[in-house]
Amino acid sequence: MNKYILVLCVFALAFSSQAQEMGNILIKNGTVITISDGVKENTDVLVTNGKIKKIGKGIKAPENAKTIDATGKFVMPGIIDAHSHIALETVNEATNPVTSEVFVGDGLDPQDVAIYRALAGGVTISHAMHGSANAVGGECETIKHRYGTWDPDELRMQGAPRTIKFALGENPMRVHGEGRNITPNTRMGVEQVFRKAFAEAEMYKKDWADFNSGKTKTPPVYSRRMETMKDILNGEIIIHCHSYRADEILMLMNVLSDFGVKKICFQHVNEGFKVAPELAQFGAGASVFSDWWAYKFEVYYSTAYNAAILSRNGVVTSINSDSGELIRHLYHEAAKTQRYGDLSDNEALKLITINPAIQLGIDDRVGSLEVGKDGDIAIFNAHPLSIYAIPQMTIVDGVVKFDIENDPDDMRIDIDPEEKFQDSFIELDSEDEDRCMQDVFSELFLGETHKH
Amino acid sequence: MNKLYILLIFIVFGFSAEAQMVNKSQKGTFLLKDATLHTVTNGTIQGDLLIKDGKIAEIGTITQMDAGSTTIMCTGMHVYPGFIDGGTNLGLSEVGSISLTQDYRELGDFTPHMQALTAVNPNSVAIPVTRTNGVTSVISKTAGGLFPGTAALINLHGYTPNQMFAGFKAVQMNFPSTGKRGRWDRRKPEDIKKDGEKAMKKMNDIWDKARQYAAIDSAAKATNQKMDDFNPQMEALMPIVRGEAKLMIEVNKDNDIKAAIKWVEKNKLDVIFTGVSEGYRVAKELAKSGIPVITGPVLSVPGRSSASYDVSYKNPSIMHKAGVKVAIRSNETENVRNLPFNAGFAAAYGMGVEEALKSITIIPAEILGVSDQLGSLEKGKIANIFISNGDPFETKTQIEHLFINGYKVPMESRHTLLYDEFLERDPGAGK
Amino acid sequence: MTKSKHFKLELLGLFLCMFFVNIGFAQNSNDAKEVTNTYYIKNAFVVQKPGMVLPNTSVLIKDGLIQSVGPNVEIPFDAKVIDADSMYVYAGFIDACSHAGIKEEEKKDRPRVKNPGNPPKKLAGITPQKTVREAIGEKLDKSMAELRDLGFGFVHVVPRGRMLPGQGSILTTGSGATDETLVKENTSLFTQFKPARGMFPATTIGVMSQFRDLYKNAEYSNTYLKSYNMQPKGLTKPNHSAELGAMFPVVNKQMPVFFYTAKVRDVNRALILNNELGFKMVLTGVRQGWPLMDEIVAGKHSVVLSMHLPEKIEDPEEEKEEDKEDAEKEEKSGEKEEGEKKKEKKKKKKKKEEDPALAMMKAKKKKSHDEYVGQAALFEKKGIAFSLSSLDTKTKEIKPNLLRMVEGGLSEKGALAALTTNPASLLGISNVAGTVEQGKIANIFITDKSFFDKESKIKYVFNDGGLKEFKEKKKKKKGSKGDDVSVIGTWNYTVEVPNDTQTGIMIVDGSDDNLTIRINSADEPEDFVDATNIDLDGNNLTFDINVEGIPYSIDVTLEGTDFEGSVSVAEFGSFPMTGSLKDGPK
Repeated sequence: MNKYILVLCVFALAFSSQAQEMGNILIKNGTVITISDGVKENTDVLVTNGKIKKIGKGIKAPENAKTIDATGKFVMPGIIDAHSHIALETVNEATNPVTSEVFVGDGLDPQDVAIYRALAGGVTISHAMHGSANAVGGECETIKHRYGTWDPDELRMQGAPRTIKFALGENPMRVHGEGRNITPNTRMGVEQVFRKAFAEAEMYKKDWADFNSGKTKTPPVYSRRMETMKDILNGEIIIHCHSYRADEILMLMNVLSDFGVKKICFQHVNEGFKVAPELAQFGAGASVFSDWWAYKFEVYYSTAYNAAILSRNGVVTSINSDSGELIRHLYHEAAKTQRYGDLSDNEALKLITINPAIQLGIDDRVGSLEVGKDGDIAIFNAHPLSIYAIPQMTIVDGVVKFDIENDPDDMRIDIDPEEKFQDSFIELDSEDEDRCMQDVFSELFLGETHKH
Repeated sequence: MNKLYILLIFIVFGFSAEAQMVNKSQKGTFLLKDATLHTVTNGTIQGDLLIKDGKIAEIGTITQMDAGSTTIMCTGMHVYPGFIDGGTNLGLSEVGSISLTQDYRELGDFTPHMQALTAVNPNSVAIPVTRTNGVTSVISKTAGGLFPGTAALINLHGYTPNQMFAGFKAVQMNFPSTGKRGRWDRRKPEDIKKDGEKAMKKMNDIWDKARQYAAIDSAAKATNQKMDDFNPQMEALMPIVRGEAKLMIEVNKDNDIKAAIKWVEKNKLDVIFTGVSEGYRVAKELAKSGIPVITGPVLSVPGRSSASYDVSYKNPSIMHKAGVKVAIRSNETENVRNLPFNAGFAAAYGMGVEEALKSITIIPAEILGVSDQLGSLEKGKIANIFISNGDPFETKTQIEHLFINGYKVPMESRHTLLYDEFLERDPGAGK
Repeated sequence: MTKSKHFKLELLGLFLCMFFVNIGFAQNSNDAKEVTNTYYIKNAFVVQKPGMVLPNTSVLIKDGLIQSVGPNVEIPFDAKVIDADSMYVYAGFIDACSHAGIKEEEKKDRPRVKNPGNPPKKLAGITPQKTVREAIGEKLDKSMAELRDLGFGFVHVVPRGRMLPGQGSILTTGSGATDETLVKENTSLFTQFKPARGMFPATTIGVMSQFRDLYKNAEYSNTYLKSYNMQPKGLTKPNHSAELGAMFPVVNKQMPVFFYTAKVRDVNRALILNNELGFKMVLTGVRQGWPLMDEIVAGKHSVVLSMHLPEKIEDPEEEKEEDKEDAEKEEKSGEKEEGEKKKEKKKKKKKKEEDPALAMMKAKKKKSHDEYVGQAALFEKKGIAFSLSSLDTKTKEIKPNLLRMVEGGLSEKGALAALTTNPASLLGISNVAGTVEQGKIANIFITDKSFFDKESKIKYVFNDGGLKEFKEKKKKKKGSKGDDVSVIGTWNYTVEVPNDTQTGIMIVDGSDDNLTIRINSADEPEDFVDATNIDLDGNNLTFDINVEGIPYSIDVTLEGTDFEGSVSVAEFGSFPMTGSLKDGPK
């Protein structure tokens, strides 16, 4: 019959499975890049009930397991993106320099076709982040790419630590200082916004302790904003801070030291290379672009060798996308560190596997192929760092979520029955790919958008 | 960085203390010995290549040496013609978010007389960053309304725009689009359609006037009279109307491409299509029209959420296979250096390495009418050449040497200099 | 000058009458009053409740109440008898959630606030203390009357606004003042994921956070107030926030939150908040709830589905449309094609049908369309006693959409329950509404055929003690299909107004795409006004006239030598207008 009907049937089949389902799968005879334990030729990987059960040769398939022949193919851990805005319908609550009360997980969009496109690039986990409009942004969500579900809850990676977005420099300065005449208008102001928020959180913590112990009778005003700040002070939340310049990076580390906060990963951190020893000493992570620069003044003095310098100085470094485009080929973005800094294969691949996992606090579960870890796996037809590598299959929790052999064109889930084909085209505008400042300029300055 | 490179710097510049402070490009005679020469037009050969007086003087086995010439041993190395990017804003923008550093977007809908070449900054920090990845020539283009300006082909070396100019200019046109302008375009479909029709009408109106202007101009010249009018816009369009110059038409959506083909045929113009992100949907029509295409970026999100994730990767290949002449562009500014990776993706997704290599060398040279000068390793062509230790599409490969107009250009940029300075910082942490 | 003034005065007089019409349903102080308020519906099919049709049954109504229902009800001497042989009697429908009667917010410029992070609650759209009484104001809105004419007897009205617009109340669709039509006041808290403009909460995630904050603080505040009221001595005086105070019944689980959740993601968000905070919740205005069906069932959530449906997809038609668009475009970009090219195009067309991208999109759209339409049926299948709401639904689409839902698998019984007994029990008004039973409010209506018959028409509507009768319109002469509609000529027109009939002449001239219209009043035949914004779309003619500053919009449909339609006047409403051709074109 018609080709498309056939395709539709396949589509329906692909999604008939319940999401968050745990799969059983045996990948036979591949070149297995474990990340943590070298590269193993002609090796099998067995996933049962969503977890890696065994890595070795000649593994027999259990009865209920799907078997995949990976002869001549490369098997690596599912790629992890430590900075993205896919699967989100809202990115910025840009109304206040401190908005720790909001949580992007309340605005998950599991129907975003960008999730599928990320899967088609071998990415199994992404860190769905609040934007960078505010010094203290909202809480973020670590999601697994269980595409095919309508239920946002099924995307959430249960048990992943809480994370929150902070932002330094031009973006909060522009939105609040330039845009509204509200501090911060300078990097000095940004520092004081943090100091004030943390100090208030300390008082809030005390007020509630007094009330709960009966010392005071009137309940303090409950504040989600302060609740979250308090949890940061208590070490329950990892900070992921949008940052560029060396001075502001040092500033935040000083502020955090003063308040006893330790868990932080700097994002973008284009001038991280200048303060790599300090970052390493603090134990801060760095999640960088492979080569983005010059899109604004604070990234004019950048180098694509950033990841290499940071890695060589002992900073846990990852390469992120911050873009629905780049997330489709993070393996290629990581590969650029070989041109810009001569990283070894394993060093380069760590940037998109175990290192982002460490930064998100999920390295005990994902980021390498080890027995007991989640069955999140990407299979390529060539070494993933080669420009000619094409992702063949992407597996989440042992369930095949992308298979190049079964890949209908239109993978949207939520279809507007009134949309016309001829109205569905969007002219490419590279400025539109950025979502770090989504909801800010459309709201504030109507139409004007800026990168990152 | 690379040992060979350091050694070379020593050999070339070791004599002058000042030259060690600032690495300058060097003109001279260079013999590239025992290299794998990827000629593009005549296959791959093992041999020597001589650069002299800015040109490729000889290819083959060269034994005779001029006095004062420099020999570069290239055993195990690969020599390629410099890559050509058929669409960038390079040289016209320094810092993306600071409008006063951007010179590619003039006010107004009808500004074909705006010359990109005028505003190219030869010292843009992004230029060395670009060429060190093997990109030696780019189209620097304008942006904006219906006729945003005149693009120019430049070589990425020189102290003045004129020194950089590589022999091709063309007026650009943005064909009226019936697509959304971006994710945040909130116009209703009806309004988009209306705006498209309005723009179409405007465009046709401009074209009628341009034809009339050219006719009056011809009549004036025939009767030795002077036109009593200063009309730089129309002056800019006149050569196109007369079929003496090419027009670059940016068009992306399937139906818009079809409409553009009709429009071009109706007006009998010599054009190049650029963008063409949905060329894969109308490849046959494009091939039939014979209009060449400069497409890209290959690394981009499909224009429709209903389209397959890899259509942008496959687009050049699909058009090429249908018989369209396809060059690839990055459409970038500070990251034009990703041009070879765009080609690499196109190669992987159906185009093949050989055709992908052509799509950023000889094909753009042909489309832009400079294939007698650029785009391949051939005797007599301009010496825009680089030497790499492997396949330049692969990220693992290093570009070792670079020549533009026969100048040996230092392999350094802001990015490499910062690397050299900060890799091993002293003092480290603490005072 | 004087003439046009006269014209205006005439019309103004007509509008003054309009006010009276609004006060009393089917009554007019200048008209003869109804002589009785006892009605006897004789010998009808009485659909007493969903699934129970009583044949040959009569209904006695007195003083706005159903007095008795049965086969042998005596006819009182003072009853107005309605011979309802073969007709159907239904309990007035209940719109389970609606903005009927509440004017849309005027589009204002975004308010500027000093600190958008902490704006005044009212500007941020947080007014849970607002009541329908307050929101509804002067009842000039025609939406309530439109619902009434469709068979609706009761409406759960909720205020318009942003995040927390206020509290809902249940009203009859009667035309009386709010005092008279109120059935139950402040029965729900209406909540939406609708952010404020340019201030907190400016996003859905902001709304989520703000709701939690308000709820938690209302809980603390409520508890503290209780202990303060018992023993204030030594305690800090509580903060009497109007917003928090209005939420006390919610945190005390006395008042349900009607959460407007049209799309699946909003449904999910409401479920999240509900799980966290545990308030009584009704998902309302649901258009796309089926993907989370299992969770809705598991949580035993009450559901009010919207009667909005996507545009009907008819495969062949749509294709035509897209082709037409293409053709238009091609025509515009190139020259008009002749014979050979046309052939080529035909070939192309054939090819286009095979365009897999288009075909796939079409198939997916159809599937999605069917899911929207089939949602009600699916909810019925899953055993959810849902209700229906007019939120997001144009009045004229209500009945067609109900029929589409039935076509999509919803049983007629289920549809009827969703419009009567289910909402009655959801809203706690089962004892007065929802069925045709003795003692209930006699807001009922009579149709000539079963309501679910496509051809059925409402004949009588009883409402708050009054009766409205729908007279059969004169059968129009139907111009045979394919006849060109000709509008050129001189037309007589008649405008029906409550107390008067306006007549006059309308002269249409020019060509179809460049029409001129002049119109007069019979009282001043010499004085013509020129029309503007003239548009003839098929057989639908619209134009505006302006008589000394008052704008009138005319919208009529031509049928051969007759037309029928309405004239609407800003704020006053619209009046039926008919006409016939006096002289055709020469």
